[in-house]
This record gives sequence, structure tokens and C-alpha cells, in this order.
Amino acid sequence: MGQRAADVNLQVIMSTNDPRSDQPLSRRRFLAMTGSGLALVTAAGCSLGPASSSDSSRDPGADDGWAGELVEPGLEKPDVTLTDMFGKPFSIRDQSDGKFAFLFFGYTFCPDVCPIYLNTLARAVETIGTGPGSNVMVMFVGVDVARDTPEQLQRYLGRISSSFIGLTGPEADIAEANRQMFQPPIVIGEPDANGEYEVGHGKKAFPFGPDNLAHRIYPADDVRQQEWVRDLPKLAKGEYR
Amino acid sequence: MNWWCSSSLRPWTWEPSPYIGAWVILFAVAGLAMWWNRLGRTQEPTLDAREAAALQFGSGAYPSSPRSRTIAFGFAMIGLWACLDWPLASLGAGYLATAQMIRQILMVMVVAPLMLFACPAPLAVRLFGWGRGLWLIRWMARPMLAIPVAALTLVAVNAPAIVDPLVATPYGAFALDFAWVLAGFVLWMPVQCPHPGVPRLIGGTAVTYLVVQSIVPLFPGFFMTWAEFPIYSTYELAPRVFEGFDAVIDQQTAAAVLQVGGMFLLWVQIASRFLRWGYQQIEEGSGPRKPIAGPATGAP
Repeated sequence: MGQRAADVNLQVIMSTNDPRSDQPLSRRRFLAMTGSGLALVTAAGCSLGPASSSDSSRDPGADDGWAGELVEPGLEKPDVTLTDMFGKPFSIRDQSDGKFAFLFFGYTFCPDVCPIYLNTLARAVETIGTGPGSNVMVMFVGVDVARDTPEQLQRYLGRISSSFIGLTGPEADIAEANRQMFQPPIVIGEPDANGEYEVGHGKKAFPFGPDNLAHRIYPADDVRQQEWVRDLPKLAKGEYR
Repeated sequence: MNWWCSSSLRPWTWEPSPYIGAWVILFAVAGLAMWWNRLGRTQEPTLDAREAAALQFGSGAYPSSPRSRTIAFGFAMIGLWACLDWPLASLGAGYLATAQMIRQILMVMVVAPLMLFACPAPLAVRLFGWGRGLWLIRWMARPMLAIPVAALTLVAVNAPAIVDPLVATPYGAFALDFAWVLAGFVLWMPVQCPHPGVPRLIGGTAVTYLVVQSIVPLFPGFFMTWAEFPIYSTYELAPRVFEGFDAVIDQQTAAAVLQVGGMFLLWVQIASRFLRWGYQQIEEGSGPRKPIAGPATGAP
């Protein structure tokens, strides 16, 4: 035991006497390694900016400078009258006539798509501040008629943006509006033991320009704030190409 | 049950969901410690040479006692578990940049130095020996290599172009976590290497080295604080965990965790080492004085 400890001690001391004795790397190789490391740091640092952030969910080859998909011919607004969150009748087609408006079908108890879309859009409008794209009429149709009452819509949208409009109405009218926008049917799930249930709804957001047509359709939960800031002013001016 | 955390488009739930990979790593580390405690160390000579080697290298005495190493190991294991398992790992991989940053700080600034502190010198010798393994950790413990490697890794693991695709899959998220471990060990090796065959930085040199390392996290933190938009698509388009805690607030909180939390932990180390060095200098300066040579003056 004592001999072995002494051997170890000797090894330690031997290895300290000549600091270059076990360094196979030459100075040139070391400098090359350090240089390539620094080059990688620079490359990684350059990619820190928000403009280079990746978005893996969309096909990068399809990037034409818009986050929404082009539809031709443009879609018309649904010809349906619902009830707004103050209990007044609201004709989607008439009351948004000639305005830059967004239409989306969701529900206030939605845990993912709806809050992501609404919050991202609201923050983007705030960022734009003034000018084209800042004065957008956002219509949110609550498809879960049992829970999306006018009062609930007021509370829900009030926490996101005071300018957003909540709409509700008879199930048949909402389903008809949904159908006119070529969305999949709304599916109300079975309640669980706690009375909670899921609602299946389309994930598309429809921006209508001054010509009252939607020329591009947006995947509501997959558009980033910076993309809204880029697209909204163009859409507000009637551009879509 | 997944083997490793990754981002998910599912709404966040507080229902526990442990990760197999995390527990395998925890049991492996704990198993190594138990093996060493029961069997390994009895097969090795007591490494009295450690102190001699440390002095030989001019790296000073190793102040850690077995008890303090045990305590450090306990905290390191708690930190490791918190980093790798639900809920912090799940939150960090797919919902909150803040949680991801807490994990990073825990791994780099807490777990790595505590593990190095807790590792007994004979175990380090057993693991790395005196041959090529020692050569490797000697290189890792050189500041000229540790500074760029740690900087590269820490900048890369915070770059959106790297983070967003990696956290999307368990393999990618594992690679990211592995990069943190690598960065943590490389960062602390020059001042905390447990192998007696590796010279450590001490005193003013160690303090200077750690001050230089404290500059690196400022760069990602700067981008996260001042970016006009959320820089990570993963966290921007994730279902919200807390109402009102949106992507921008989350990102700014993450930057604060990196800059304030990370800096705090690093500067505690810097201050502690500086004070220890200062007291050592005072003690050396207050040793027995040499008698003054020359004729006495003044007294009658």
C-alpha cells in the first residue's frame, strides 16, 4: 500500500517536472482549434438576431415574404348576422364593409391555438402603433355557445385587447359562417368527470382587405409576431402579392 | 413516458411526467458515488500525494473535506435532478424560456462546479488515470482553451437558430443539455479540476479567469433583453403556462435570470476566492519579522 502511494506520488512529481512531456498537440494545431472555435462563436453570434430565427413548422421553400397562404380567387366574408359581446346584432359582412378586418373561429376556454393567435396578433398591432395595419378590426367568433356568452367574451378579450370584437350566436348561424369559410365542422366534445370538454375548430385566420376579400389565409397558431408586423401593413393597404 | 424532454404543442399540465433518461443519468451518477464509497476507494491507495502535487504545481491546498464534498454532492444531485426532470425540463424544453435559462444556470453555474468540488482526487485519478485521459483534462483545464470553448458553447446554446430546432425532438434537447454539461465542466475545470495531476488556477489568476468568463453570458442576455420581438419561435408559439406571462415578458425574465442569476452565482465564487486570496496574502505578510540590521539609534 505504502509502496503504491509512493509510486503515485512519484508519477505526480514526474509529470510536473517537464510540463511539455505529454502534450502531443503542437502550438499550430492548438491555434487552429482555437481559431475554428472562435469562428463558430462568431457564426453562432450572428444567428442570434430575431430575423434568423427558424420556424420549423412551415416549408422554408414556400417563403414568399408572407406568412399566410395565397388563395385565388379571394374568399368572401360570411353573410351571417351574429351577436356581439355587448348583446347587439352584428352583421359580419355589413359592419366590416371596406375595413381591414380579421375573422377567426375559436373558443374562450381554448388552451392553445386561440390564446396564441390572439395574443401574438394583439402584440403585433401594439408594435405597429400607428399607420397602416394598426387599425384592424379583429372579429373572434366563440364557437362554444354554451360557454362563450357575451359576458365571457368581454372578460376574455378584455384581457387581450380592448379593440377586439367577440361574437356569438345560435349554433346553426355559427356553423353556417364556418362553412362559408370552408373550415372543417365544429366538434363539441363529451364532458369529462369535471364537466370540462374540448372543442374542435378550424385554425385559420382570415384577413379581409378593403376589397372585402381574403386573399391570404394564415395558420393562426403558427405566425410569429414579427411576421404579423411585416404582413399587416401590406394587407391593410390591399396588397397580397 | 418519454425518455427525454422536448417541445410539445400540447397545453401545459401540472400532471407529473418523469423522464426515463434523466433517471438513468441520476442513478448512474449516484451508483458511481456509491460504488466509490463502498468498494472503489478501498481498492485505491489513499492519495496523500494530492497535497504534495498541489503544492508542486503551485495550485495551493485543496480545502475540501470529505464532509463538505458529501454536502456538495448532495446539492449537485438535487440540482441535476431539477435540471433534467419534470417540471423544469418540460417547461424549459417547450413552454418557457425562463425555465430553460434556470436549467442552464443550474447546470453550468451550480451542478458542474459542485460535481467537480465533490469529486475525490483518487476517483478523478481512477477515472482519468495518468495517460491520455490526463492529457485530455489538462487541455480542458487550460484557460486559453476553456475560455473560447465555454464561450462558443454558451453562445451557441442560446442562439435561436440552434435552440428552436433542437428542442423540437428528444435527441436534439438531449444534445442541448449535453452541451450545457460540457460548457459547465469546461468553464470550471481551470479553477476546480479534482485531478491532482492538473495544475489549477489560484488566487488572483483564478479571479481574473472567472471575471473573463463572466463576460460571455452578457451577449445572449443583451439580445434577449433588447430584441424587439420574441427571438425563440418555440416559446413564442407555445401554449401559455401562466396567463399574462407572454413571450416577450418570458424572454426578458430569461435574460434577467441569465444576467442577474448567473452573474450572482459566478460573482459569489469570484468574491469568495478573492477574499480567501486576500486573507492568505495578509497572513503571509504578518509572519515573523526579520530583525532589523544596522546600528540602533535614539535610545540612550
